[in-house]
Amino acid sequence: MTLRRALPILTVLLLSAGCASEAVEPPGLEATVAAEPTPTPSPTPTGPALEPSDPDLGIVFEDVPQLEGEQVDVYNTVAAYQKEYWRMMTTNTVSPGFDVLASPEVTAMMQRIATQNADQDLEILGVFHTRIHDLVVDGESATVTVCDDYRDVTAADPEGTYSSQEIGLVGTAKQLSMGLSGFGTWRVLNSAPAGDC
Amino acid sequence: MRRRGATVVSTGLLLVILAAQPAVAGPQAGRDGTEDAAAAGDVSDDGISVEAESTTATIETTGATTAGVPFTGVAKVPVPRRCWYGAGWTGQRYYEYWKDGGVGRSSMTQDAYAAQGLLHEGFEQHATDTEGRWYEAECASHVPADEQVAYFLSHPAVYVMAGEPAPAVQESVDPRVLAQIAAEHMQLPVGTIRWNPSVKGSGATVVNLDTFVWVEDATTSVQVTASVPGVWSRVEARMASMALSAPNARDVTCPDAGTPYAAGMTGSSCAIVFERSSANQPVKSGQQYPTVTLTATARWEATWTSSLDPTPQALEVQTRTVTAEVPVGEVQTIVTR
Repeated sequence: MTLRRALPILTVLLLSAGCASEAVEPPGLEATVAAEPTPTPSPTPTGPALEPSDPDLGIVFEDVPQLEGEQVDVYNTVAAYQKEYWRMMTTNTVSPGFDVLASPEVTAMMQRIATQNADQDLEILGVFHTRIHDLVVDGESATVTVCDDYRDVTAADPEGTYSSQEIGLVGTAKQLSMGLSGFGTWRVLNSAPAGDC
Repeated sequence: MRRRGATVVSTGLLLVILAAQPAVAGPQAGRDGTEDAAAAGDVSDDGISVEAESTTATIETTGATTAGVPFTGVAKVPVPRRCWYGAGWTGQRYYEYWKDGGVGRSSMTQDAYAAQGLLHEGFEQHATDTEGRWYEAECASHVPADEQVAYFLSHPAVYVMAGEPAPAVQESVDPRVLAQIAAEHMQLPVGTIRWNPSVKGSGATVVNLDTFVWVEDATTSVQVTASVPGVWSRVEARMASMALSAPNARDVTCPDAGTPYAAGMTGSSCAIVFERSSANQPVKSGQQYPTVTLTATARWEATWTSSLDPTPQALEVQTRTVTAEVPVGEVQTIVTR
């Protein structure tokens, strides 16, 4: 069975053309960018529903594309994966969500990341910006390029606080290889470096 | 902000002190996209399957040499799993993630997954249990979807209370992979090249005359079995031919490892003719006389069977090579034995 959403098409009046570069500060989280009461920075697409940004979690999806068909399911899976990735980064524990969204190999990689950060008593804070693009679906496989932007991310350990650059979190791209699980849902099978954003 | 070193004491010592300062390294965060997840290794953590990537295969080798001497060998080699039963989350952690209003439900995609009835049956019953765990079917990323479905459907998630034994893991390992591993780990003694004529003292043979060649203590047949609990694959291999080659000699293919010289022997299944002396060659390191390099390449043929299919299937041909340094002289320099 294929995961599909049967939701009505949403029509939204876009209020500001300059929203794409502005950050929405989630309540209760520290960020290096001053909070402004602006709407969601990304233009809301008209079409099948896509996984939205999560202010409580501190993740913002930028440049959300217009998609259709299987691309929607692939995008939503990647977006959910990014949410669980950020949840892992801010809690240093691997989310149970990876069991659904990713292969055991990717989950194991997430565990290594969490362990590395936890071993340094590193607490990662702030807002994570991400852009999912270049989705290519070919039958039961797909590839997606994702840009991870840590510009509004900070970190702290018992020694002090750090900018994202000081702890090595610089904007980079990664390529995700996707495959259909036995139940018709998409999974991230592999995540590999893909240069700069 | 982390301090970057001691304050400089005086201007006059500025260069010396700065040169002596060690680099202050801050923490470095791990992050996604810095490595290929396919290269993931074993991981141990709360709720994550341990040794998810591989299990250990036992490789047992038995064989015989040209002299009829048997040999054996045992090795342990990691082999990738296809599907397995892995330890998952505690009852409480799974419940807190997937309950109505929980973290998982805040994601549209995850909520839809839950709505399909794919969550572990009865997970609410273990909502407060922090000791027991869910054991879940898992498959490596390369496993085809239909095989995953079959494994998942035959291995539904089970909850194991603290102190209870985990469900027996039924290994799912590709027998072809086992066979390839067995072939790669065939421990084959290569033997030593011998030849005749071989002048006493120098070991020289002569030009333009059949030089009988044989490989002493070469492996002629071998059987290698690779096994994991429940699955085995066996490779049967034999030497099919041996090729001889050397500078200034025509290449020769022998049907076997040659026949050891015996007095009165007038012919051999394996012989090579050197057309030029090695006298004008430099003396190589470790040698007393000028030599040419004689190379003997054994070609092996192999088939494999498994516990799942007794029909022999061909394996890619392998080769084993051994060399020797052979002095080659003119006829007039030979003293008969």
